[in-house]
Amino acid sequence: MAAPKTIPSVRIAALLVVVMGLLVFHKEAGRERPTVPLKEACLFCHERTTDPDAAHRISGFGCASCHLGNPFAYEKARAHTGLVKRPGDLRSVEKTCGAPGCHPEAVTRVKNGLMATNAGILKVLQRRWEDLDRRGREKGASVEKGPGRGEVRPVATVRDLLGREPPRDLPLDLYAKMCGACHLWKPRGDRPGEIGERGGGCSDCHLVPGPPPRTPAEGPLDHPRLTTRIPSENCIKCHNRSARMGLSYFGRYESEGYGTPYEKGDFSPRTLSGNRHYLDITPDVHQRKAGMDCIDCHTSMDLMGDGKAYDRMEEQVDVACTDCHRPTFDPPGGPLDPLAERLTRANGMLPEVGDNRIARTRKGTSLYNLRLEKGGVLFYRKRDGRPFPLQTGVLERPHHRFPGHGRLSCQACHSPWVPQCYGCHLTTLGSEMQHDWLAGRHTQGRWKEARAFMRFLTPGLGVRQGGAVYPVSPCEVFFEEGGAAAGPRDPRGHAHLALSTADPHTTQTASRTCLDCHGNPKTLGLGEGILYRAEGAWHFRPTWDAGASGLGRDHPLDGWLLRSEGSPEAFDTAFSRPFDAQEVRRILAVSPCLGCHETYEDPVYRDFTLSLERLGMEETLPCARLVAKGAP
Amino acid sequence: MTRNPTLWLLCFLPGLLVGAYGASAGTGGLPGPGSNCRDCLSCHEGIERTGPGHSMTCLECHLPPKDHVGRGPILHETLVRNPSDPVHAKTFCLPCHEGEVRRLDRSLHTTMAGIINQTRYLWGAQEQAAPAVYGLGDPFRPLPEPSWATLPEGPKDLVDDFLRRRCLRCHIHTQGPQGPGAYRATGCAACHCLYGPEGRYEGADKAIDRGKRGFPRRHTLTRDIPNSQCLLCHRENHVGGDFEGLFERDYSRTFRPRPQEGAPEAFAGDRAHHRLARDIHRERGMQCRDCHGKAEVMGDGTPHASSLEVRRIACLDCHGRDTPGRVQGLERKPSGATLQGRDKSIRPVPVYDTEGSAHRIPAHAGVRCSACHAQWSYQDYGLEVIREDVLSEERRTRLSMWGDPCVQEFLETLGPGDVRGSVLSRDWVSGTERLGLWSMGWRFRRWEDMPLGKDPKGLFTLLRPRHQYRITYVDRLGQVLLDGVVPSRGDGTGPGWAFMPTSPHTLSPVGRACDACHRNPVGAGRGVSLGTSPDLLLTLPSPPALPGMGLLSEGESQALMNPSRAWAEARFLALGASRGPPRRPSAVDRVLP
Repeated sequence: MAAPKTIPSVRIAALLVVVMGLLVFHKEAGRERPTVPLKEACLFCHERTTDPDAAHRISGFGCASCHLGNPFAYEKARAHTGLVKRPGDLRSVEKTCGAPGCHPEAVTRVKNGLMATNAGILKVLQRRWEDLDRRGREKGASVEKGPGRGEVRPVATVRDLLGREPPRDLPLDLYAKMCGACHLWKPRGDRPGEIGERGGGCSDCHLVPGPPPRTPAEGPLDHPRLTTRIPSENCIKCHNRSARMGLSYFGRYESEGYGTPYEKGDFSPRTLSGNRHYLDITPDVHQRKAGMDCIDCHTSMDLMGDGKAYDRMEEQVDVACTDCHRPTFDPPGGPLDPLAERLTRANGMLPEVGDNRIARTRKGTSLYNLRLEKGGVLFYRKRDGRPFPLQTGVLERPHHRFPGHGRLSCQACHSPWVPQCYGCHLTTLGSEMQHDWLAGRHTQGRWKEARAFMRFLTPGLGVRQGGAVYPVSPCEVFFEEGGAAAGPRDPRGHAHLALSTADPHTTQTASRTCLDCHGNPKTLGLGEGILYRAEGAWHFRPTWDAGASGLGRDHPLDGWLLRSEGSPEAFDTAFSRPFDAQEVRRILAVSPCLGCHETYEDPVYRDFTLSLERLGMEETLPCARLVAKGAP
Repeated sequence: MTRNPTLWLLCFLPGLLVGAYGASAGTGGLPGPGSNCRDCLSCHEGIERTGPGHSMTCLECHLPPKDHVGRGPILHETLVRNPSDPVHAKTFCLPCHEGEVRRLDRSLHTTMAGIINQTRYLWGAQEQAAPAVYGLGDPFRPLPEPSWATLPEGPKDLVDDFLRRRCLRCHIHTQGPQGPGAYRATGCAACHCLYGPEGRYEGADKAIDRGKRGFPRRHTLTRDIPNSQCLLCHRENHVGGDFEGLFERDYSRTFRPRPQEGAPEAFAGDRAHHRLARDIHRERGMQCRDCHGKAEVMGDGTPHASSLEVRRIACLDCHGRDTPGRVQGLERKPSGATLQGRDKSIRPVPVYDTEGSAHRIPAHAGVRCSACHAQWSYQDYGLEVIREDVLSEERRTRLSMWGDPCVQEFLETLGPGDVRGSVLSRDWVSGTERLGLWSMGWRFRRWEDMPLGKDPKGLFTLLRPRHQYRITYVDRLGQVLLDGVVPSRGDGTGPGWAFMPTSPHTLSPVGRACDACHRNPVGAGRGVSLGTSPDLLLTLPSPPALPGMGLLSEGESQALMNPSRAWAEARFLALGASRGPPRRPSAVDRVLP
C-alpha cells in the first residue's frame, strides 16, 4: 500500500533531472563558444589584451593565475565569480602574486616590511601619546581612561587595525584619519586623484601609472603594465609629506601656501596634492647629474624588506652612501648571485653581468647595477641601462678622513637644505566627522593641522642613536583636544618635541662650510639668533621670542638646545638627541680659529687639543700675540 | 538666483559706521532734524575735556566759522565730527597750530610721496622716483585718476589704481579699513586720538552708545602717543612692527592657528603676527616717540621723496661719547649719560665703545650701526599682486588674506557658489568704489639672512626686498590681460624690482656675528648659493629705486667673501670677548652651559 505513494515521487524526481538536464544542455548549446578550445575561457571575451610585461605573458599565464575567477566559464557573471581585479592587493596576494611557484617569498617580505606595517609611524605616535599623557598627569590633569585617551594599547601594524571598529584611542584615531592613506594595505582606486593611486599591495609600486584600461567594449584591453623599473612617480605619490623626501630629491620644497607665482590669473601650476604648492630649490646631485631614480639606490631589501619586521626605517634601509662611493665588490671568479642575475634580466635594460663583478651593500644585498668592469667602476641607471663611470676613492681624501669628523654622516655636510616645519598645531574636534582610512567611512572626530612657519635653509644637526651626527628636522606638535582654544597650561593641551634624523635627499657635491656648523647657532640647535662671546662664555640671543609666544616654553621654536626641564613640552630623545653641552663646547672651540685655519690640512687640526694647549703656553705662536689682547 | 552673475558690493565698515552713527543720532535720543544743538552738554553730559590747552567751547572746534552767525538754532548735521580731518584742519586747528598744520601738510605722513613715487617709478609710470612728482597735497601733482577709456597695456596703466586701492589705505586722509585692532581717526586725530581695539567709547558722555564701534576711547587728544597707535599702520611687516617684535604670519589659514590662551597680544585678537625678539630699546621700555620727534613725524616743512631724506635722530646722538647734545632729556655726566624718556622715567644710556671688538676696525666706520646691530628684518621675497575684476570660487576659498578686515570678513561669510560675479573695492583716495579687488601673495617670507648694500651716504646698510613685483590683471570677462608681468622701471634701467636700504627696528645690544656678512654669500649680496632656480634667484639683490643708494660693488662683495688676515685676527679677538658683555645683559640672552 505504500508503493503507490512512492512511485510518483521517484518519477517526478527522475523527470525533474531529465528536464533540468535538457535545460542545461539547451542553454549551454545556445552559448557562444570558440570553435577552437581556449586555454582559458577568459580570453573568449578579453581576446585582444596586451601583456602586463614580458615575464607575465598572457599566452603563458593566462588570466586566472593572477586574477583568479572561473577560467572555464564563458559568461561574465560566472567567469568573474571570485575574480580579483587588483591581484597585488595584500588581502588576496597569497593566491595571486604570492602563489606557490611565483613570488611567495616576496610576499612574506613585503607584509613584514614597513610600507605594509607602518609600524614605525604607529609606534612613534603611540609613544608620543604616552609621553603626553604622562606630562598631562604631571601637570595635574585628570587623564581619563577609556576610548578617548589614556590607556594606550600598543598596536603593532596596520593589519591589526583593519576592520577594527572605532572608536579607538586618540593616537590611533589620528593615524586612521591623517596617516592611514599611505600604506600597502590601502585599497587602490578608492578615491579620485593621487590618494586613489596609493595602495594596492604589489601594484602600488610595480604598476606603471597610466590611463585607466579600456573595457572590452571600447576595444583591445591595454593591460596595465608591470615593471621592476619602478618609476619614481610611484614613490613620490606617497613620499611627499612629512619628511618630503620624494619632493626634496627632485629639488622641490613645499611652499608656504601662497600658490605663487600666479599664472594665467590663477595659482601656480606647481601643485602638490591637497591644495599644496612647491618651489624649486635645487635637486639632489644624483638626480641633477645622472637623472637617477629612487630605485637606482634603493634595493628590493630597502623597499620590500628582508623578511624581518622592523619598526625603524633606518633598520630596514639597506643601502648607504658608502655602498657606491666606497664599494665592496664580489671576489673575482666567484659564483654569480642568482638573484642579481634574475633581477638584471627582469630589468631588461641592463647588460648581462657576465664576468664583471657586482657590488654589495653592508647587509650583503647585491647592487647588480654597480659593477667593476675592465674600464673601472660603472653605475648603470636602471631606467634605461645607461652607464655612468663612478669615481671611487673620494672617501679616502683628507677631508673625509679628518680625525674630529669621524662621527659625521655624509648628510651632515652634504645635505645643505632640509624642509623644516616649525610649530605643528594639531587639533581634534570631537563633534565633527572625518574620513577614516582604515574603516573606509566617515567617523566621529576631525583633525586639523596648522603650523607656525617653514624653512629650507641651514638645517640643524643632532645625534642619532649610535652616535652619528645627522641633519635633523624637528617635529614639535602642539596638541589640542576639543573645539575650545586650549593653551599649553590647559590640561587638554600638550606639546611634544622630537628630532627626526634622516637622509634629507638633498645631496650636493659641495659641502656646507666650516662656519655653517662651527659658528651657526641654528645648525647647533639653538635656533636663529646671535651667538656671541662674553666674559669667557658663549651667549645666545634668540630671534624667536619664546616668552612672548604664549606657549609657556623657554626656548625658541626653531631651537631645542637651551630647553630646560621646566619647559612644558615632552621631548623624545630616544632615537635622536641634540648635541650635549660637551659636544657644543667642542664644536664651538674651533670657531675662533676658523678665520685663519680654514682648511682640513691645516696643522693645528692634527691634534686640536694639543694646539689649544700650545696656544696658551707658547708665546712665539702668531695667535699668542692675539691671546695677550684677550682672545680665548 | 545666485546663478546669474551679480554685482555684489563689499560692505565697507567705514560706510557702515557712518550709517550706524546716523542711525544712533536718530534713535539714541539724539536731536532730530530741526532741533537746536547749541547747548551740546545737555545731551553730551559728562563728555571729557579734549585736553589741556583745549578749553574752548564745543562749537569752536565742531561748528564751521561760517555757521557761527547770530544765536539761531544749530543743526546737528552742520557740526563737524572730526575737526582735525585734513579737510577741516585748516579751519579748526590751524588758527592755534599753524606751524604744525602747515608742516604736516607737507610731511610724508600726509603726502605719501615716498610710496607713491617709488612705486610709480618701479611700475614704469614715471622716469624717476626722486625728486617726487606726485603726492597727496602740496606741492605735488595729485595722483592721477585711473583711466578707463582704454585697456591697460602694462603695469604703468594700473599703478595708480593699485596705489589708491591697496597701499594708500594707510594715510591720514582716510580711516583705513576699520576693523578689530585697526580703528583710528583721520588728520591730527589719526595719531593724537586713541582708540581701543574694539573701537568702542569708554568715556562718560551719556549720549554716545557704548555698544557701537568706530569711536575713540575718550573725547581727548594726547601728546602721549603710545606705540600701539603707531602700529595701527606700521604693522604687517612695515617698519615699526619690528620694534615690537611682530612679523606677519604667512597668509594661508594653515599658518594662522587659533590664538593660544594666555598669549600676550599686541592687539586684541592678533593672530596675524609671529612674536620675535623686540628691539632692545623696546625691551628697556622706550616708546616710538622717544626717538621719533615732532619734526620727523609731522614734517619739517620741506616736501620729501623718501624718509631717508628726512633728518632723523642718529644712534650716536644718544650713544656717542661727546656728540653735541640735541636730544631732549639726554644728560651727560661724568658717571655716565642718562635719558629721560617722554614717560619721565630715566634710563642709563650706554656709550659707544670705540674700542669694542668690531667698533675699532677702521673699515667699519663706513657701516651703519643697524647693519650689525639689527637682529632680524623683514625679508619678503617675490611679491605677487593681482587685480581681479571677477573672482573665481577657487581663488576666493583658497586665498585667505585680503589685507582688509572688512573684505576678509565679507568673503569668509560667503558660501560656495556665492561668488559668481564681479567685485568692487574702495579707492582710499577718492572714497569711491570701483570694479576689481587687489590682493597679494609672496614667494617666501624670511626674517634671517640679510643682504648688505649702500645707503645714500655711501654707508653699508642692510637691504630688504621691496618689492619684487609680478603683476596680474583679470578683467570682468575673466580675460587675463596682464599675466605675471614684471614691470620695467620708468627710465628703462631694468626690471622694477628693488632692494631698499632698511633700518630694522630690531636692534640688539650685541652685534651679529662677523660671519653674518663676511664669508656669507647672502650678506655679501650674492644670494643663496644653493642653485639658480627662479625661486632661489629672488635672494639676489636688485638695485634700489632711489638715486644715491646702491648694491655692493663686485669688489666690495669680493672683499666680504674673501676677507683679509686682519679680519681673521679681529674675528679671533671678537670671539675672545676682550671687552666683556653689554653692561646690562638683556633678559632674553642665555648663557650656554
